[in-house]
Amino acid sequence: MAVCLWAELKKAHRRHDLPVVLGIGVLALCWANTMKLSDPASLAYGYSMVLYGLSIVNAVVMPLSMAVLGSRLWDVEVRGSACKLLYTLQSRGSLFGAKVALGFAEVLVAPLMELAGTLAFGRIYRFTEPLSPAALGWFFFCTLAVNALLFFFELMLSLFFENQVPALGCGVLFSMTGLFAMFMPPAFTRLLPWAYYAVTLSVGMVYDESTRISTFYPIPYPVWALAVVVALCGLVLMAGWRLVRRKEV
Amino acid sequence: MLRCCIAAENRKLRRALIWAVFLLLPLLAGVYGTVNYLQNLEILTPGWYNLWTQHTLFYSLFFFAPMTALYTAYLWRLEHLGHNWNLIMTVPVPRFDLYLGKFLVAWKMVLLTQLWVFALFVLFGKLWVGLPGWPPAEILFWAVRGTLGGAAVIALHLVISMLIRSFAAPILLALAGGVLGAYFANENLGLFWPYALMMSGMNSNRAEDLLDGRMGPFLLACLVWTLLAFAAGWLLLNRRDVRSE
Repeated sequence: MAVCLWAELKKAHRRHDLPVVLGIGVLALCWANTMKLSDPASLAYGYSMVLYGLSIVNAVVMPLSMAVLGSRLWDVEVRGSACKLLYTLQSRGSLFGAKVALGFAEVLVAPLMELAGTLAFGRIYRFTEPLSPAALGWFFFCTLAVNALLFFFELMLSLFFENQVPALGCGVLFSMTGLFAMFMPPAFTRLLPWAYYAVTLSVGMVYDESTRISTFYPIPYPVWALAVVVALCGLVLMAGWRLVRRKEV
Repeated sequence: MLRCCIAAENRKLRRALIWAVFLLLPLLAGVYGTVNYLQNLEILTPGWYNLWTQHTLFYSLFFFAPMTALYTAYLWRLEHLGHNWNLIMTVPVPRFDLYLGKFLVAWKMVLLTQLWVFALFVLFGKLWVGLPGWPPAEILFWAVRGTLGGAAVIALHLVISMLIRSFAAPILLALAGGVLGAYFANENLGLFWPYALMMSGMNSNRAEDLLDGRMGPFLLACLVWTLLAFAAGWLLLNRRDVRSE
């Protein structure tokens, strides 16, 4: 398994995956930074505002980014017509396992950068809101779980169709509907797994139209939503493994 | 020769899965825009102009560029598979015609997409919202104007997709470009960033014309960005060679 993972790492190096995964985190953080974080009225809600804003940013950026990561991970074998060779050199389990492990490591980077970025924003803009490690941790795990779900789903699509248009097309459509779902009734949002960046939020917002000031308040952690995402992750992974096992070369 | 290139590119699009994205993306934008319009009637002034902003705001801000990148990456994908790059480097066709053929076909796709967006806008406006009369001709002009801004994005992404062999990476770059474009457009610097041209042309975030009295600079910006990308495409294609492996 270690050899297979090493081979995947070498492929990732040749594909220049590192700039791509870092770019995803940078894009999300740069976008979050365009919110009025230094506004004195916002400082008392600084961390909550960043977490709320990042969930909207994630709804747009992450579905497409995960499609890009998932598609690139398998497309390298499709373009090189390498599946036949690989299946004779290594077990299908080790190939799939190595790809899933590397993919998960890549998926991990963006939530970690967002976590670090949130802390950095707090220091740079001197938020007066007390830092809640539990809320930050919850945000990290939920973002990671939804990202992983989307990544495994897109990887599965890439496995199923040699043509990468369905995976990327789904990425664009998920980004779009994920953003729309943010402004739809919660009952509708809960139907879309790729919109769970909003469903798993532990921060609520009230916008006062007369003063044009947003206030944020904590809401109980929606543990059921995280459980749904984790369960879906498991199902999608199993479906992906089934596809790899049965794939004709 | 150019006609042969266009015919070849058109053949790639026959029964291509890319048409599903072409159909679905504007449809979803239209459904969401109409629902949002109906939900916010107490804030919005009812009418065709505000329905247009709701239909096209997110579409032109964030999703037009990735969709266009998907079109252009698809047109280059075949060339990047196997040894096809060497094949196109040796075909008896002026190299820039390869690029120009792709540009014209991608532009046709974008034009069709814009017409589809407009058709959905009229359909939903009349049948779903029940707006009186027909939309002002000005809005159709904005939709067509959006394709001029789109031309710069197409030209640029044909260069990016030619350089980057990966199918997916240019689409992520387009999303980043679109997000930056929203920032440039907000700062009134839309003409200085190619990804912001389409949203300026579409007039998707205001009921009044953003480019009123600025059509000249807008057209000039579209032309300059497109020609810059053409020049890059011409230079790169003429300097590129077969790959020996």
